[in-house]
Amino acid sequence: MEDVDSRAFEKPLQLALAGNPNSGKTTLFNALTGLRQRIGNYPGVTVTTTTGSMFFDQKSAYITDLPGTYSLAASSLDEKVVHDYINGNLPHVSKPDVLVCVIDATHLSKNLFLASQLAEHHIPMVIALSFWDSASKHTHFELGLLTQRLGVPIVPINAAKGEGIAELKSAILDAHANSKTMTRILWDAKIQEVMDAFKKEVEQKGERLSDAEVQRYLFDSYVPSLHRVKIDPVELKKIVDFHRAKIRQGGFHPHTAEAVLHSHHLNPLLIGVVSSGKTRTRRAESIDKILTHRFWGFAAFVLFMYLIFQSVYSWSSPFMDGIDFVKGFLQGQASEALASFPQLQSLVTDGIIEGVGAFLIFLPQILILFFFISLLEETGYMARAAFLMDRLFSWSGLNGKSFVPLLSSFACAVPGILSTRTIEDQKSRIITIMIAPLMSCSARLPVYVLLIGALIEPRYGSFVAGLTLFAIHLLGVIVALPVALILRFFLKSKQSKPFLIEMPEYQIPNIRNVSSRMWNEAKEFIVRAGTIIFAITILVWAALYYPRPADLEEKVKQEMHASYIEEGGNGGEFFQALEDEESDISAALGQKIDSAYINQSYLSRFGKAVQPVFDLAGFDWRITVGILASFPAREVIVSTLGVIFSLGGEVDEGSHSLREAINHSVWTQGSKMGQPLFTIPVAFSIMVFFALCQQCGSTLAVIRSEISTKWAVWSFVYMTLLAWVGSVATYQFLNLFF
Amino acid sequence: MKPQCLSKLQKGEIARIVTMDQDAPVCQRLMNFGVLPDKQIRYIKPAPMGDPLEFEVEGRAFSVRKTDACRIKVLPINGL
Repeated sequence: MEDVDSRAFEKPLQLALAGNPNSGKTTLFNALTGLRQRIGNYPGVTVTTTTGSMFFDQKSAYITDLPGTYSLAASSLDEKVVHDYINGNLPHVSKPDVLVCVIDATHLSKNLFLASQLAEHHIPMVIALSFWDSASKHTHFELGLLTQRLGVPIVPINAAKGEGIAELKSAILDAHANSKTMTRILWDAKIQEVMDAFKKEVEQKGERLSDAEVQRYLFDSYVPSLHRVKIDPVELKKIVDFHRAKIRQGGFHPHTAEAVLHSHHLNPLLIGVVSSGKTRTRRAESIDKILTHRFWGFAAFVLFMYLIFQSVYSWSSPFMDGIDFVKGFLQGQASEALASFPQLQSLVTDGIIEGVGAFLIFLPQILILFFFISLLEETGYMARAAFLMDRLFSWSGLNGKSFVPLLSSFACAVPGILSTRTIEDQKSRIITIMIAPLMSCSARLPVYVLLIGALIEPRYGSFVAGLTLFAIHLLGVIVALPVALILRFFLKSKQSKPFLIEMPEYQIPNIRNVSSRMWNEAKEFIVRAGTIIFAITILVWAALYYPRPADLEEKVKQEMHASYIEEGGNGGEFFQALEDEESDISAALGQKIDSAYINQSYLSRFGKAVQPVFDLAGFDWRITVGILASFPAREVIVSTLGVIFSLGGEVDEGSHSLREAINHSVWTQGSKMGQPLFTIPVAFSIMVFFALCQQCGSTLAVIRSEISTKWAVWSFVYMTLLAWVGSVATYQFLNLFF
Repeated sequence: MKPQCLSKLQKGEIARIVTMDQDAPVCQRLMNFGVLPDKQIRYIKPAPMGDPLEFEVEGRAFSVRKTDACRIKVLPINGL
């Protein structure tokens, strides 16, 4: 018992897992922690780290999987997060007690560079040699010699099989207990002199920097910003530049001195450690003879992408239908249970349940897409896809890795935008995110099907109808190109990561990595975007529900009664029919009342007020209100139109009654009164509006959580303006012919 | 023989890296990646659309864009 008590008060160990990309770091992380993981976000940083807990015989520990990097030199946010994390510069994170550096044993000498940089932090370290089974097959390692030279425990592991994990754990405790830090580089005298002088000068300004931080200031390609350093940035840059000039005078280049000198330091340490037998041929090269082949490479690529798109698009639909079914069932139950409290009933069914359903509906697509994305990354194919496609995208500021996110956006922009995390270059990532919502997603399809089915197919036949559907899908792609170019211009000043993709060996995917990736992505989506999607749904519900004047229902009943008599009906019969809830008259009255409530709701009042703006696009107030109501989720336009045209909210795009209503509706006010509302130009105008407009609260919520609020606002503003301009131009142009 | 552009190598040709433009961000990244002067580099092949190009240094393959590759000057090693 005593033992347990003393353990309870002991602070858990804080471990950090660092390593190159493709070094098997995540496999080790998952082997160490299982599913005890959570994702960490740091303010102002989009890079996420995953932290999990693990247990030793006597201790518990938290271990954080840092982004994979080749170096600590900050050329992107990934390296910055690794550096800030290790230096304890992130809020609420203390310096790790032990660093676990994962090194791919097949590329020992190159991977050691990162370890050597990490050694500059004086933190106890353990080296985990991954891919041990395949490396030791061809190469003999004198691990005892290397351990002696580096001064830290070195543990060979095969994380996927769980081999070496126990040894690694005891090595971690050993390194911690005996403060085993890795042998540091002996810097060239001239460089050491500059580092000391820089440190001293900064100290005189009242700031203390660690050796490792000094190196970042002097060696990185731009001046790093450490929040805790309070020196005026302009002055600091002057000091940095002065000392960098000294490095040049010493015969080194400040941005490459680190790589060169660490390599000089490491090479002698490796003499006699590695003796390879025959040179290995890279298995990847023979596979790539097909997979990056001029013809077969593209054929395979198209096949894989088709498979991914089909699965996100079609395989997800039974699950989505299932969620819809459960939602409908719960709404029905709640509606019955709360029948005597109409306001609460509407809040629960149309607000709360609808809102929860609004973000749960994305889960099937997100899970399926991330299943494939982690397969692509785990196997090593993602690098090949980027290699194949880069030429197609590079001129517009995107890169080869933009393809998968853009393709998935044709199913839904939400998983598409989430999947841009695979793009390391922040500039390409932002551009990809900003154009992704222009890809025509599946939620737009009902609108196209409704309008084409009601207006174009009956007049011009199915061939023209199909062509129209294709053209409207193409529109987003065509518009996306200039948008990308303009964005590239505006982001010119933003630092771009040079294109460099490692073409790793092909690997058999690790199921645990795939499933934990799917789970983590889904969890994060719900936490970060789900709440906002929910809030938007509630807000729009309120704007469509309120106000509720007490006399409205009576007024509608009387109006209906009056017109019933006018048409020669019998007043008594009318009221008798109303007694029967199943009668046509009751149903019609219900629909008229729903329609009347919406017509005087806050949202409709706003819609009528702004309708003149949409007059140029040929929209009357009903279309305008429908469009406004569908800003949180564009697919609701169909049911909203159903309610507005007094057909009830149960209509869908194939609904005969709605198509009839569209064909027969006329302008109810203004100069065009009595003329048909839905003409060909109006139909195209609406479709262009939907193709280009950012009518998706969920997408905005995801953009906000993936980049920032500012970019979410920009996305909304530019797409809405584009949609308006596009639909006005379409309407005015087509009006010349029809 | 004068050092030549890395992108001018023939498919499969092996060369020794002579200089890397140390002001170019791509070279700084490549050096962190373990591609350093004096190392042997092999040109594997171009992407199907001609760009980027795939290389190998000490058993590790990577791809860079053509314009970036020219920041590296190499001397082909003949007779291999």
